[in-house]
Amino acid sequence: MLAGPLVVAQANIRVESVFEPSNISLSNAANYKIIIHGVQTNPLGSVPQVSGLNLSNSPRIFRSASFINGVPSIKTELSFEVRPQREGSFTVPSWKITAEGKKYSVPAATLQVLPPSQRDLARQREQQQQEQDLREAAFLEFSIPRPFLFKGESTSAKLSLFLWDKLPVTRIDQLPQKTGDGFSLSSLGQPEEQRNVVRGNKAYSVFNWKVGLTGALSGQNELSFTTAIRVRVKGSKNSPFGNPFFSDPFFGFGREQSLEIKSSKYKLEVRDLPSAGRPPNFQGAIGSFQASSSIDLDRVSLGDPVRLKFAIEGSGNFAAMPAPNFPDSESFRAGPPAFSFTGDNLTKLQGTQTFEYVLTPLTAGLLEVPPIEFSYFDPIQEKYQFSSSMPHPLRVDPGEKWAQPQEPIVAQESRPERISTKDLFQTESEPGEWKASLAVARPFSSSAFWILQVLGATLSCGLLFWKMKKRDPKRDALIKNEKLLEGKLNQSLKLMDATSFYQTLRKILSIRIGRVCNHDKPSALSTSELVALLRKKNFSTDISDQTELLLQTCDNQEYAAENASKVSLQEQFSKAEKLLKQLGAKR
Amino acid sequence: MKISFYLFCSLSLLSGFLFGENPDRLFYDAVRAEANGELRNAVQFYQEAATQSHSANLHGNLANLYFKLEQYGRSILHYRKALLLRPDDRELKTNLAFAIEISAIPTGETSQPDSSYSPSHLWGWSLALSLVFWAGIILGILVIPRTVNKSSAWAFSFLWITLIGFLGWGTYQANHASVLLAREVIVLEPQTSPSQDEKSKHIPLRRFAGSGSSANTTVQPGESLYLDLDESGKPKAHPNNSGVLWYLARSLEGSKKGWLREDEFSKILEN
Repeated sequence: MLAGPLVVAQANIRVESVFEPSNISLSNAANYKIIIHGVQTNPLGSVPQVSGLNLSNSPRIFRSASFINGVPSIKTELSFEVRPQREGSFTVPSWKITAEGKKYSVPAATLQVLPPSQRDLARQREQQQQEQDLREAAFLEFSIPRPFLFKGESTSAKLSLFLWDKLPVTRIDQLPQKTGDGFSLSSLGQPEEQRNVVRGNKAYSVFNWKVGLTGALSGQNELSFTTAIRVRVKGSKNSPFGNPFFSDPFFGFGREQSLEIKSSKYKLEVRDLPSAGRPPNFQGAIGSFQASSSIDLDRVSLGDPVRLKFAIEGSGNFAAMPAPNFPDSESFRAGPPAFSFTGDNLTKLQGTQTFEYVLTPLTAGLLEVPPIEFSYFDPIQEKYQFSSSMPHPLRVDPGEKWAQPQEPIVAQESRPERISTKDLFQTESEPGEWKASLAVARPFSSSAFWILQVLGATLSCGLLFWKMKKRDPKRDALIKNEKLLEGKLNQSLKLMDATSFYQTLRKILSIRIGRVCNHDKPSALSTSELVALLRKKNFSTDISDQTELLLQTCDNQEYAAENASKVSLQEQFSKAEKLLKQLGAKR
Repeated sequence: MKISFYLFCSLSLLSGFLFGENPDRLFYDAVRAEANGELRNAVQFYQEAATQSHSANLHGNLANLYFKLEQYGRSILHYRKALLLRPDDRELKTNLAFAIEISAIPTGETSQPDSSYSPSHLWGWSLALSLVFWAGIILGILVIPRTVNKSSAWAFSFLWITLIGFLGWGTYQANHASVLLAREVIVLEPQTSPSQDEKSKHIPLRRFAGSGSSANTTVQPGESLYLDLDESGKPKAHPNNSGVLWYLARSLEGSKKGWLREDEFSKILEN
């Protein structure tokens, strides 16, 4: 895809394509050029990919304008660098390009790639030789004592950086970095330096790092290392490859350049730990270990803490070793242990890991601090092993009060002679949750509290405003009137005043119909108009008919003074109540 | 260059030793010191940890230690601090009551925090009050005018007002306790030898800000006093010629009043 600034262009548009040069040898590069006459804006399109040719993605763009025989001429030229991968004839087929909003056809172009010439071959050989020289001048070596690791196993390995003495190295730019997810590596410390190490008639200075390598992913995993050194080279444009320091009589002077050194790729197998014979208390320790333990006191008072030190000595993955669980005991309460490691702190492969448990005896008497069992996997013998500490006897005295129960009571004083601390609760062996300050948080100075108040007030005001806006005074007046009439209707029923009853009932019915059918003045409507309103509002025929009948009854009572005794008022009231409910429900 | 590097390393190492003690480590050191019977060392470790951070267990343990050392004022002070961090802890409350009983402080002369209205619950009270208040208002706007009959509306309003009243009272009490707590101090024992008699452990409340001044009355270590505040809301303090500060304090009812030297008491909310 091509894009760029816009330039005004006119005249007939014509597209040409050509390889320059059209014949090259295999180790050389050519340019695939597209010339668009009459255009200065960037065209759009995608160059087709041709098997065996590598076309660069970013073309160089040239624009030109000139007068030919007094006629202005403009053109845009796109130039793609092409590198062949093999010999042969390669044709970029005709393809479409968009310029000035129109599509134009780019003609096909052919490149002949010839076999490499003697000069090319000589240059290639020289380059290979230089690369070989460089590989011999500075390289990384990695050695590990065993051809495989178990998953989680840590082993000691050696990483060596060889630097030819004649290589003008000024410093190591970057410590070796691991590549390969199958392993984890301990941090690299200061390297151990060796001078005059001879390899293949060359004298080297060697920097050795002792590292701990841990298998992380099971299977065949690749491992390699990369580092960078800084060397001094002559000239500003030449790279160590193009004009190496080996043939440069002035090397050692001039500018500094960083040089990346990659090790070979090592293949190492990481095996899963065997599941057969895995003890239930196995927590991932792999290596060769010996456990021991000690307690700081052999006699304490009830409630006083005792320190139990459980030490694991040997070689293995100390960095990934969790604390063994103190066995459940009714006689002791144990807090989480403190960790300490003595030994090779960099790789943590060899040394002594100590776990210090603070135990609180829970009962008095001659107790026994139970042994802690530690299980691990021995990668040499390839089987699980146990190592256990010794039990420790501990005498726990019940406390002061019990020691002298028969002591005679001394003269009464305002305060007891000696206050037993037994009555106080136990000393906590864990600090619990830390807080930066004792100050109690006050809500009235907290913004969160006031935000809550503002939210509540805003919500209430919003709701109130919404309710007021939703309010319809006419409708409210109808409701109020209807409620008054309902009271009057009950009164009429109580007094068995048929005239008043039917008058009131008609008014209630008309108000209710007005409300449900959104009519402002329902009392001005006749029975037929009220019923028509209900039908218009899609009330069922049954409701409409019943309403009509009831309204007619009311009309008849009012205007024709019809005898109402045919149907009792109570019965009419029940019917009206039911009908009003139905009308209300529809609303 | 090398010298600077070694100097930097040495200083880092030294500063690690000097300042690298974290409160966890100090706490464990204190527990071990206590286990070894080194009570004074344990107190020092706990005190050092308390300058960096606070935990209920730290102040509880420190209070226990002071109790063992028969410094009941300090013991009561640290139980109070522990209860600030864990106001509902039954064990701490029992221990505090026991320390007050053993120190023979007259009833009412030291305050024991009421858990329901303690300053720690101020947030809970005020939050509940806000929620009930606004929920009632919103419910009133939305529901009551249309769907609820008059008697139900009255019942709801009565219930709501009662609840608001109760929560408002709780908030007021907790806030009052919080304000008082900011002024509250616990009287501490003077640094005297244990052989001295009980009366010499009493702290005089002086008429004027100076050691030579006669005393209005005395207070016992562990008693609660409340600092008088000046017009700017800060404790009323007066420095003497040697720069020692004196504070005017009184009991809650105001029956005991006088000047105290700054080392004769400790604020509960200090630090």
